[in-house]
Amino acid sequence: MERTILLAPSEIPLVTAERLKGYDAVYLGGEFCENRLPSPADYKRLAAIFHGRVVTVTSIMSERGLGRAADLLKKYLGRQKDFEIVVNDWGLLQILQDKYRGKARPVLGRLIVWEIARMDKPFLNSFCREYGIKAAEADCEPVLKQLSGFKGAIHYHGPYRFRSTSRYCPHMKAFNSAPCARVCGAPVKLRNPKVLGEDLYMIGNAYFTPNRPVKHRLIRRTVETFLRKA
Amino acid sequence: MKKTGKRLGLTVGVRNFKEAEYFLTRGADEVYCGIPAVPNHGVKAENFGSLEDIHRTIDIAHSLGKKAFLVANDIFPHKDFPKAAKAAAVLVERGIDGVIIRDLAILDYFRKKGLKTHFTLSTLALCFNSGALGFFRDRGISRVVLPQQITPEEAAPLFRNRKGVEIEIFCLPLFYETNLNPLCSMWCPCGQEIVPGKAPRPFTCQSDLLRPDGEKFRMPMPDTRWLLSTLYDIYHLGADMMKVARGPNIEEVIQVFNTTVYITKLLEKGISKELFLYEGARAAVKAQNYGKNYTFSTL
Repeated sequence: MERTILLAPSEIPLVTAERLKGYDAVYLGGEFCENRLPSPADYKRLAAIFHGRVVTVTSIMSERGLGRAADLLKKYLGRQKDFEIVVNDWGLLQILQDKYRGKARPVLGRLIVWEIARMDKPFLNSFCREYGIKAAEADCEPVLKQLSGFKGAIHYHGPYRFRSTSRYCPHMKAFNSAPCARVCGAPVKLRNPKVLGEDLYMIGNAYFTPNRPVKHRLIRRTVETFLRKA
Repeated sequence: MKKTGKRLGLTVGVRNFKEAEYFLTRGADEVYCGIPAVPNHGVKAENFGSLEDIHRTIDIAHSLGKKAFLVANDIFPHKDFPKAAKAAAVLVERGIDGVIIRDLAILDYFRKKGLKTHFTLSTLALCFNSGALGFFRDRGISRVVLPQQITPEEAAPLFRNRKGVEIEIFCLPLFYETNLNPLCSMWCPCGQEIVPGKAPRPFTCQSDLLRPDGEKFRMPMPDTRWLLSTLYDIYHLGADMMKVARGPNIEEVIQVFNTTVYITKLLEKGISKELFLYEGARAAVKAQNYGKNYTFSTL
């Protein structure tokens, strides 16, 4: 079982080489906000404290985000032997297929998986073969169950399960494609027992509830969200 | 003053023939209908109760020179494919003008089964860039319903690169969802069937939540002025259709429809943005601009 940790680029200065010991790879980027897309400088900063593999993580993309991702692929892809990228946008997936088939390893991210987990498995498996996809990400048992019949590996996120996301950032009061230099901050606990089934945690522009590690024969990797202290 | 004056078609979600007749004779250009045999994103109460009603809806639409669509905007389990494809094929044969889909697998299945019709991509498929639009266009999509959470700057490249694909939008100041609907699994009334007489549960995203510091937090959304401004700009990018969603509460759907007709007329008149914001705010003031009313009522 591989152990990995998910870091936003703005969180690189908050971690030390010691903190990253024991992880097989670092996930760099963000699934919910395109402003978390790493720059070449972010890979360099991370390389100073972590010498293992880096998995690039991307979100749903506006045209601007897609352009930035395309630039990143152009500049960075050749520099890394095994370029793995978590994809949550159909447009980015198509770019990877058209221009980088065989050069990059796309993984279906949690947002796309939320959409496709229930999809007909013969179609999904054939689609994944066509696009060179060998893994998908999940964070809860219902989605694991829905993925039954999926032929690839599963990467499992913790300690939070994703529940919802907005493109209108609660911190910036602006849409994700607007420039942002902010650090999203620590998870904010939100309560209302009359409405919520359990406590909700806001991280950036997404909302989560706690999850627990699970055992499943297809889980090949765990992805731990790096948590800033409040 | 802008002089686009492009006519914006109106499409309305309906649950029975009476509703279809009501809207088609009051300015709607299209209606769309759900049936239980074809899974769709909505509560059961939003579906037609009989095929006879759908046939009458197709007939009245065509007699008025208008259109009727079938909504199939959910992810299907494989066991439902043959039944759904058969039901869709029968309705296409009977004259339905197109199918609204979200699931790539069912689109592929429909096409393999030789279903030749107009396919609309539901807003639930989250098409936010021209790359995604191309991805769906290559699979046979003729119209895309834009997500609500897209800015005019973000939408512009989709219009520039649409290559014949029609673009449908929501009347944003009247219907806007705080979070991305297809990716939301929080507690809210949309995920539950309606029990007449029982109050629907509140939307999490519209409830006051308490932060650890004691401050109240409510999930944010842009204000009505921003939504009007966005609608104005996206209309002027060249939108083809405006959508009024199905809803379990007919009074609300009628109110949203009437206000949408008025706002559409303002856009088509080519008035200035300043005047549109002023008049639009007056029109939108009474309409809820979040989600749907889940208190059941019908025509």
